[in-house]
Amino acid sequence: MSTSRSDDSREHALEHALDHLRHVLPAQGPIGTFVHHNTLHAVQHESFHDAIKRVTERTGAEGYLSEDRFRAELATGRIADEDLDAALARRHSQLGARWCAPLDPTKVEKLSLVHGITPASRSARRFALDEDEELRVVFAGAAPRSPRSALLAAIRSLLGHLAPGVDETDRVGVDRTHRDGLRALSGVDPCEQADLWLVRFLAAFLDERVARWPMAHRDRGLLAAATAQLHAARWARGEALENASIVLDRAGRGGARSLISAALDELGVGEAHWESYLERSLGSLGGWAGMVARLEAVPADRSQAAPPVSLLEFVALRLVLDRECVRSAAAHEGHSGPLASMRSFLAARTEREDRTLDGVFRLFELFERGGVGLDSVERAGAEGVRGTLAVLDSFTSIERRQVFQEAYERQHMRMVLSALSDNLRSPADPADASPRFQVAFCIDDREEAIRRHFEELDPRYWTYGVAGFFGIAMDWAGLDDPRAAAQCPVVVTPGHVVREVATASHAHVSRQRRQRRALAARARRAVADATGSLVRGVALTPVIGVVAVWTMLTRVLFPRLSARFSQWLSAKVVPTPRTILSTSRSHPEDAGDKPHGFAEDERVARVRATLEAIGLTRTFAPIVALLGHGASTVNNPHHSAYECGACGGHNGGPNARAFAAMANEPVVRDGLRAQGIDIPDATWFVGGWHDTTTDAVTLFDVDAVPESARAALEELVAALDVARARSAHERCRKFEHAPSALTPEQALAHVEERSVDLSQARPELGHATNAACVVGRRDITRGLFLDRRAFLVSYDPSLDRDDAVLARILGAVVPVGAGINLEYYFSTVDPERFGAGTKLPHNLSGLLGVQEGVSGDLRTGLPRQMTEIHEPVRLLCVVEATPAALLRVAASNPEVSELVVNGWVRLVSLDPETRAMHVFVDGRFERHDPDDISLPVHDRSEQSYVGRMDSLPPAKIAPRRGAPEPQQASR
Amino acid sequence: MNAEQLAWWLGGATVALPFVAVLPLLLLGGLGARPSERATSRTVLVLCGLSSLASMGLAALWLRHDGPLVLRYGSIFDLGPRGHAFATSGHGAVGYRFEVDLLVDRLSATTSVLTGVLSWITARFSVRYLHREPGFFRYFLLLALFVGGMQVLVLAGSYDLLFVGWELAGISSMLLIAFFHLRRGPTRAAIRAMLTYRVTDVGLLVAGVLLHHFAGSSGFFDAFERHAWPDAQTHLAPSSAFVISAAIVFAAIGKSALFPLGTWLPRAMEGPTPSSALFYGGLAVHAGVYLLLRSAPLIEASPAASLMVAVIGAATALWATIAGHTRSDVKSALAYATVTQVGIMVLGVALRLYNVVLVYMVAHACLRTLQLLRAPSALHDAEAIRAALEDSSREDRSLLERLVPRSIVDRVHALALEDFHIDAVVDRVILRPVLGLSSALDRVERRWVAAMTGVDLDAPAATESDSRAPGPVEERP
Repeated sequence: MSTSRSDDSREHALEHALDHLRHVLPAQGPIGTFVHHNTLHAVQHESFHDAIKRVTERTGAEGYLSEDRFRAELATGRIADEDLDAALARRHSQLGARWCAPLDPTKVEKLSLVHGITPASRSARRFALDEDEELRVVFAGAAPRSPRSALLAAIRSLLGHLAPGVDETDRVGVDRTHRDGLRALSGVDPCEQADLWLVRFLAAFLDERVARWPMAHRDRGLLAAATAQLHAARWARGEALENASIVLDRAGRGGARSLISAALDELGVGEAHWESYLERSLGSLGGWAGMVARLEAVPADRSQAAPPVSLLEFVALRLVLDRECVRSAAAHEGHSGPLASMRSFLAARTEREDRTLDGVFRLFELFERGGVGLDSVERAGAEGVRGTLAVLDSFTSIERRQVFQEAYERQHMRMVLSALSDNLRSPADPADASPRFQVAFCIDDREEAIRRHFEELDPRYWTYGVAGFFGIAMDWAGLDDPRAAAQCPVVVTPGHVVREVATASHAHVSRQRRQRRALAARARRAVADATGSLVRGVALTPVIGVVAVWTMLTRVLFPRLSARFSQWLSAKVVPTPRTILSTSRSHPEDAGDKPHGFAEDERVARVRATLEAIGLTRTFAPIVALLGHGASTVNNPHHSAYECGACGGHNGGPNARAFAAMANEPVVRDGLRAQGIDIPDATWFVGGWHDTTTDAVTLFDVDAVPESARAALEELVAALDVARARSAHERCRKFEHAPSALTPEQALAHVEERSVDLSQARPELGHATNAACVVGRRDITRGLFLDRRAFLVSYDPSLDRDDAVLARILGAVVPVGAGINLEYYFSTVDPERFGAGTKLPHNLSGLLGVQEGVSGDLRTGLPRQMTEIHEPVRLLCVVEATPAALLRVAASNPEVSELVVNGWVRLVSLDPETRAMHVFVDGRFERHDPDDISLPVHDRSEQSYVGRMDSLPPAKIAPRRGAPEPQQASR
Repeated sequence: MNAEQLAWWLGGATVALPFVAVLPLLLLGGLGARPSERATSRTVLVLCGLSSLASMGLAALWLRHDGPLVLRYGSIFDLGPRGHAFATSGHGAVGYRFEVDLLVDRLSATTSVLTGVLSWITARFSVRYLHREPGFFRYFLLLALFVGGMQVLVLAGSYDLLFVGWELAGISSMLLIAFFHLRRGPTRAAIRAMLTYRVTDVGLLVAGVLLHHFAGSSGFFDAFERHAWPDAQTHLAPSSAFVISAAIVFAAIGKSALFPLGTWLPRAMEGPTPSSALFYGGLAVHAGVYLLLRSAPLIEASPAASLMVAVIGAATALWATIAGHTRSDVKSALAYATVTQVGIMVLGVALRLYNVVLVYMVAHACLRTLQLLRAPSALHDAEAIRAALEDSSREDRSLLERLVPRSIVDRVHALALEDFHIDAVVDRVILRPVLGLSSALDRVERRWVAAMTGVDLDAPAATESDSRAPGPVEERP
């Protein structure tokens, strides 16, 4: 009876621990489906700072920039002293009353922030003692000879002796593993062999037919496959792995649970600590463990034939391997007896840090820096001095950096809000009342520049920002896609399929295209296989080698030219048919789960929803264009991360095209008219996409544009050409390899070259430097130079009486924006654990992801090449809505509320009427009065960035139109 | 200036210019200065580019010249008089002179141009690829060192000089594997590579010494009867030829990752992609093949040596192709594919297909360099191919799978995934006995010393070293 109850409780504890692991392991899927998300999504239910603290304690990952970096920012003025004081004041109001003497707690903490009075290493202290005669005298017990040594002597006698602190070894079996303990002791990782073997095994086990010769019997599951693999020639494996193989052989099938509990029992890990112990255990190959968990949870990422995979079995395997390795290593270190007693063995072997000496030194430094004399110290007495040390101790590195982070962000907030307020007071570039064009871009921060450059050309050019799927959630199959894939934010599951099909007259072209693509693909595969095989390789190598020389020379020396040539060639060989989209449902009773195309009322509803969201329900221009966006890069496994996040990591062009097709339909327009949105017949919608890498703009279905709008279309194309060249020019300022003086046309050539250059590790800079998000009417930001750092979302509060539109917008924008922003944040602050390190040694493993070299962990974050210029600040969302409206929306949307209330994004309300600003702090809105500044005013964007490479503060752009256009722009 | 003089200058420039790039960089680096990326890469690109042009010029001169060009640059040191090589062949060689001679013939001219071109393209590639990398400076320094070393290796007129290039290439190769030295994987791989190099390089040294002994000179032109490659020949007795060949083959086994010491190469893919491409796809991995081609007359002179080379080549090709077929990560798969073809080339040497192997080597080096440079595209390529073929999986089984029964196939797969445990076997059969022997000798020596001097050396020091039993190399930090 009691046994079965304890079995139940063990079962329960294990399930609980596994759930926890599924939660905390990296959740990014196979790299081909990369979508930005909050790296710490698992702990999003906690507040930002608490979550970081917890994760840091458990995993050792960094949650903030380093203190050195922050101090450097303090020195350059990027962190203002006033912001540091404000952040400290906030901390003190949260902590409540504290006392210490002779310095008050705020002063102690300020000194600690600025000077970093940290525990010194043992060797550093020894060095200080050896070097400084004065100090040595005091520690030798002699009488002090100078005021300095007198101070030191006083501190020493007042402080008395301190008990030794908690050591890492005390946590072995709790949230440190035996492996950690042994490594700390001997400096050698006892489980290295196990890791190497696991990487090799997992790569082969999880592989989806990339290896020419797949592993056998994978269908029996991970543990069975591992058992068989370890069994083969186990005599050659060395003691630990050989023992592990024997254990696994004995366990037989289905023994994962008993293996886990047996291992944890033997290691002496109590049920209460299973969760934290396993989290730590799996941390050493966290990327692989996360991939196992993810593939188990989302089978859709894999092919049908993929082998079953289970986190439970992986945990069992990991524990068995680790235990045997630890057993061998412990014996080697001289440990005998059960592994459960290892903690005491380690504790006996570990030399404890003496905290007294350390405390004396830190107080000494603190008082010297704070200008505290001997008298004050003696007046404060033992209690005051000990209290001071307690304050100093409790202000840990994490908490110091938390304060720094707040100050760092506060400066950014003040800068943005005062810029917005200045532009509201005196708009730099008001729009003309009768629009010539209305162009809707994605909200993406990378579209900020091209929008601004486009608007600079003419006050009648209006732009909007809307999540780049344009409200059309669909499973999309382009002409060349064998299967449909979701084109919408990952949180949405599309209910419709849309296909791109050739027009009837071009059906034969489509057939030809398919045949020739297949032929080319077969040839490519045959060549790739041949070069990897023995016999065919011998026959083919001399021939292919000659081609390789030519390819290598041209692709490395003349990337743009050779790419153009191969594009030209493939366009010649593989014809492109004219196509249409199946947006309208042709067969209402279509078989399958999902209907093909949308019904009439669905089309009307979708067009209406998006138009309402951006506030475009009247005053239509002759042409309304919608531009999705995508990226073109080569030799880049992280390609998906450069694409449109609102389209699930795909190109948003098809959504824009589908939207335009729907909005141009007479029946849809009739339906909209009936609902009060009257689109004039003279208005035509055009879909297209903007390439964020090359700044190319492609418009779809231009042949269908009616005669009456042709002239306008030509003007639009010309205007977009100017805008995209200038956008490219603005981007080039941040590329060190771009020539120092460029015309916009040369800039375009440069960015085009980057997109096809095999050696280019930074085809574009992605979302790096993203920092803010402005939701509201364009007049708030029109004419503001925001340095491509802001997501811009169109929203018209005057049309939104019941906050329904606001709720919809924030429900999409806040999670997507926060996902992008936080992924960049964490990959920046810890490139090694949250990010993917540097791209240079990356090695694609199967279709799963990149590993470092051939023996490393899978890396699921962003590579350093994407984050190196990023300023890690949480997204500052400024929303044109009253605090009350925002609170109502947050109350109705748990995800938004979680992100905002827990501080994963910063939220500011901008009152639509009064223009008052309220910042959301600690659960409520506080009034914020922006600094009263006047931004610099420039004629053109270019003037605000010329010659600069760093992040720039906002500026106002008030174009002087009518003046002759300067011919040449130079950087 | 006549053609001979021009060739002398061009040969000197080919070899010296990369070192001209190395020296100032090394000096600056030693002083702690870090020149800008632009200055660093310009220096290396310009000087290695000029070296590459010089090698092309040299090759052009050789084409117009009748027979091989021997360029003499004097000697570095001179130990006593030495008669003419032929006069003193046999046991009469009494002196030693390290002569700096370059030999330009079909083999070296071709390989030198290949070296120049491939390394220059890779350097050019690296300028953008390594942009903003903290090790940018170190990378280009090592790259230039490697190019210089390779040119010495390729153009060397004697085994003595070849050994110098061989070592330089080895050092730069090892240091670039460990480029990311803060992580464990790269340093482990680098140590493995270094150990393999160190041990097998002895072969080359021994070969040079023996050749001096038997042929009176380690200069190719002298030792090989002054015939142009590949028709060169030697009059050494088969037994001497076998001993020298064995030493040379031993050296080639390490450098070209041949069976059974080749497992270091697939693990060496830890550095930046372009250096992996140049070293383990392009040049360094072919250095062993080059050495065998260069030593062809010696190998030819001994049927046993030819057989040995053939067996090693075939075993390498077989091992690497089977192991490579189980790999799902792109860089290992390419590494094994490379080793497979290198094995074939070695086999070709044994079969005396010298010209074929030379052409094959050039083509193969270019192909693998390109493939490795494009390694990050693998995902995109696979997806594109699958989309075009409208399938998600492939159903082509390899030849081996179709021929052999399933149960054996599974067993072989399990072994192949772990390189047939070659390392463990080598550790047990060679490494541990050698270490055991050396520690036994050490003990004997200590006892002798103790007996003779009365000082017991064992007391403090021996416990330290004996408590760590000799284990597999990899387990050592």
